[in-house]
Amino acid sequence: MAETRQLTVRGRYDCIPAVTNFVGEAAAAAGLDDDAAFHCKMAVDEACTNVIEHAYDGEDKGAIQITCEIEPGTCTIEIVDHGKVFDPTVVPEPKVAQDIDDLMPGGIGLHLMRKMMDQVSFRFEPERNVLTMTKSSPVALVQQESPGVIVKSIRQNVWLIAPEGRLDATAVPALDDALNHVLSNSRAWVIIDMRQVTYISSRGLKTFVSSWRRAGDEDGNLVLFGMVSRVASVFDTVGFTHLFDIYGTLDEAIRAAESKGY
Amino acid sequence: MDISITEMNRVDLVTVSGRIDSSNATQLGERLNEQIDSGSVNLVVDLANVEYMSSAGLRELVAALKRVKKDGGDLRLSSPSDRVREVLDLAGLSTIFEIYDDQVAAVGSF
Repeated sequence: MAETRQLTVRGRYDCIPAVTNFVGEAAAAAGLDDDAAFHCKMAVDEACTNVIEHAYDGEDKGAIQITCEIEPGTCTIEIVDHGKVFDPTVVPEPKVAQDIDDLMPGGIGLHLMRKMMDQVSFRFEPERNVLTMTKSSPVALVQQESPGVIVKSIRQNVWLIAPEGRLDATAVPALDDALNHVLSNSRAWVIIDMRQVTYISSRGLKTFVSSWRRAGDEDGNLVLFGMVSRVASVFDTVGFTHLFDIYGTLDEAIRAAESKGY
Repeated sequence: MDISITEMNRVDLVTVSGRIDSSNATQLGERLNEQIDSGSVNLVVDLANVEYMSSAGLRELVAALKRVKKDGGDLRLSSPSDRVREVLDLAGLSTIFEIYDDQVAAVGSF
């Protein structure tokens, strides 16, 4: 489920710390670790500096609008200005050379942005220049309100959910929350780690079936692995072993995801 | 950002603390230029208390390095934090500047 936050600042260098704080918080909300959040902050500092220097030709000439889209494990940052077009394709990568005269200090900011973020792209519309940058954490730990369920992003669109203990009526809401988190509007391969689950109620079974259907609606899947025998026999009794893909190990579940193009 | 300069026998030690970003990097540049104008060719810039440096700061350091090299001197860096070190590496500047883990080693290298 994506959350969008927006901030508009005046095009002044002393406004940039407010922007980097704003972005740092958004990155943390997306579950990015400190290093990834730092990269987002630095990239945004460099981007805003470039807007002031090159798009606006100086301070106090215009505003900068920063939008952060927060999804579990990914932060997408958009920076919009209304200045002149600053074509990054004419700023070459600085040559890393022993001869310092080969360095182009003007290109270092953009170079840092490209190195620190996963994607950097520019779009020039009439009246607006839009820079979009994304940063994803390869393994982002999304903290849940209740400690009973751990959610991990294994890779793009592949999620690991590890509930613990008895999946009865009191515990299932936390599992529901975790599943809602990952089953947003995109195709998701959800792996449920069942190794710590000691018991499953009909309420728990219902949650798995409805989430499995939701995943399937978006062309994804919900699979399980590591069931203890008591839980496995419950699945057997209600015929769910024919419904779900059930694996012995996490590796098998991931390889199955890979075979489906994840 | 605070800048203090200690003039020693063969080298001037420039101790910087705080953030170096687009809002204040030119101040660093001006201070370094003043020092070079007054005759210094050997500089150590100690970054132990620099918590953050963006490309604006890198630009000033590179400009100062170019100036002292023309006069037969050098500008070396000491004690960058992990984050500042990462920025230097990504910018390709770790091979351009001599970087020391501490101030004493940097000063002693001249």
